[in-house]
Amino acid sequence: MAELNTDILKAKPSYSGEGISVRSLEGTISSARARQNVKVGELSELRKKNVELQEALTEEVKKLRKLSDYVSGSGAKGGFWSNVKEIVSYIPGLRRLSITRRSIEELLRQQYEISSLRVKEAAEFSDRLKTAQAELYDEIQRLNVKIVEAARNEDTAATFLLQVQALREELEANLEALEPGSAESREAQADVDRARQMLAEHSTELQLYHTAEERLARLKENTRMLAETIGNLYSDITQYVHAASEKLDLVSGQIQAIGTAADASLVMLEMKRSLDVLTESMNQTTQFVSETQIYFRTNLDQLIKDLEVFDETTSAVMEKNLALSREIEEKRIAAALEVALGAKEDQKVAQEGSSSAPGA
Amino acid sequence: MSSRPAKPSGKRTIPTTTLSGEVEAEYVRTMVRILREARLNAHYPDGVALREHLGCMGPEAHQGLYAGLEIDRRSGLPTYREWTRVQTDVALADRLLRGLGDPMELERRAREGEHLIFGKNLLKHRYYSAIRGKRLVPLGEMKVALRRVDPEGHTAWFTVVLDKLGSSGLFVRFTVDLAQTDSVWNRPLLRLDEDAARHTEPLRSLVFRFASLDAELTFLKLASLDGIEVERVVKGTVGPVLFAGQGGSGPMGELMAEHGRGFVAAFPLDMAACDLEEDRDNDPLADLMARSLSEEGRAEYEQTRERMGYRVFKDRKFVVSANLEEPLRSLCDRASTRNIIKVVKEHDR
Repeated sequence: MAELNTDILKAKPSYSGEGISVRSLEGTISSARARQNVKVGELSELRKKNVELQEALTEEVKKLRKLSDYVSGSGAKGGFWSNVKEIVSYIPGLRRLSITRRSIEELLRQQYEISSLRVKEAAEFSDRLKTAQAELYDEIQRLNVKIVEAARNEDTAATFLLQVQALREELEANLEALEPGSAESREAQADVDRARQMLAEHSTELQLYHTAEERLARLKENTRMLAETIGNLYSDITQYVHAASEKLDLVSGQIQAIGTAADASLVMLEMKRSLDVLTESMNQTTQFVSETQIYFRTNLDQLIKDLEVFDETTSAVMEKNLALSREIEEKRIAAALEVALGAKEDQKVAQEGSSSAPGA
Repeated sequence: MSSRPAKPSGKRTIPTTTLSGEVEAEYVRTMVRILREARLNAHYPDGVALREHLGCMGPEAHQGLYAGLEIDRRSGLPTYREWTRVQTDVALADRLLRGLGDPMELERRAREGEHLIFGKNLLKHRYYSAIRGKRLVPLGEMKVALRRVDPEGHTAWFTVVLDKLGSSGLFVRFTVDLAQTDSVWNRPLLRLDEDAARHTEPLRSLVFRFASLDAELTFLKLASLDGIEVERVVKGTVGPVLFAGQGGSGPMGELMAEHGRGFVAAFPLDMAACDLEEDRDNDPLADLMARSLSEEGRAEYEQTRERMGYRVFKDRKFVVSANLEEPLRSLCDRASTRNIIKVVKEHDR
């Protein structure tokens, strides 16, 4: 009979990281989910901000369109001045204003300053999206480290289990060839039990690492989709904000130039140009905000639903793991008891044998 | 890092130059120094607010978040866009700071993170912290203060102050002392509420409209209104400021062209008032209106002046770089004026 190398029964597989248990895995997933929930909460805040922006922008565009229509004469019924007076009533603080060239300049300035504020808010909004995207990419990095670690540990556990299983089979084959009750047989039996115990322990580890890898990978997938969608939104808003800022730059120069224009027709022409540019600038920003709103309505709500499903599935898997772990633990305890009982029986038999012997 | 002229847009606009980097920083430092030296009194736009507003425009404040600073070549001051930009940023600063969160965390992320946005967020935090609560110069604001009331005569005396960034790119403050007599046939331009005096929109519109005129013409326009008796109109102006290479016409432009470096900043004060004893022109760069009129026009003008009982005073103080002090004094001597000339030395900037 070949001498078996049982060193592996004294070895410990080298898992990386802090080790794993049902509780620690739950902790890892729940802290990753907590971070994700913070992000989702922030996105909900952004959605609220987006609604506010959209309302304000819609109001501005409405005013600008009306003003521009009246200046170009397309909306005029009661003459230009009477219509401009009506429009002026839309601007806070300018009610009852008698319309003159200077007051038109003031009106444009006020509108320009409101538009600048709106575009600045949109630019800040885009930076918040960019920040949220960067934080999500950092979270993906963190999750990747955990996933790779879990995958490696899963491999380590599987390799170790296969080696122990192979040894166990050989040990059991050897045991059959030994005389029952002999010292060699007891020693071989102890090795078989040790092998069983190790199989029980490390099959739990294998299952947990497998669960960790799979759950974290799903979580990462959600995070990645979220980051990419936010990235697309960010690209869009950046384009709109740049375009709107350029228009505003142009209009600021025109507003200052209006003050230097000598005759009324030139002033009107400049005013029309400035209004058109302001309207275009506001339109560009509003278009973005509106598209963002559609995104938020469709994607964010869906994401929240997906995460709820993820949480439910995670809970189910964790319950299953826990049950499995308990079951294995019970088996291990039963096996240990069996070994312990067997040892006691052997001791009793040995004691009876020695008391009935001659000269005892 | 340099200054570059703006591209022609094809639309009517103003001539501008964009400064960036050290040139931009040096411009802001110099402007703040000029304004400090100018020691502007209450007849000018608020000097402290101007300095604080300008201080927010430099790269030391904005941390490179903006590509540069656009200057109106006519006035040598930042353009309307730049003044508005700071106004917007200060208005949003508190809210944006709350959104950016803890500065220590921003610093950690900027240091350890791979994403550029974390660095930008830290710079934004520094910028908004630096500018929050700053006193800014109004770009178009009118205030009215009641001086006294004569209930029996239905007359109230007011001081109206209009601050404005004018279409010329210069900051102006109009201070108008006037009396309003309320009667059934005129529409009051000012109102007395329970605890405050307020202007009406027609008055605001009128004064806003007159902001490009000088003090005397504004006096004449306002005095022609029903129920209004004007006592004094003062117009204090900040600028123009001419730097080397900026161009510019008139004596200041010629002075700069001749000497090729440094700067000269002008702060004209223009007054038409009933309590002045005589006309006086102490502005080497502007003549009294009477001198620009024909013989015929002057006679009519003198009659009007006699009827309204006002006199005119023009003055101008300067802040210059050391190399331009003597040439500017010579210019004033030639115009027979005695002006305050403050000098900003190289090491003071």
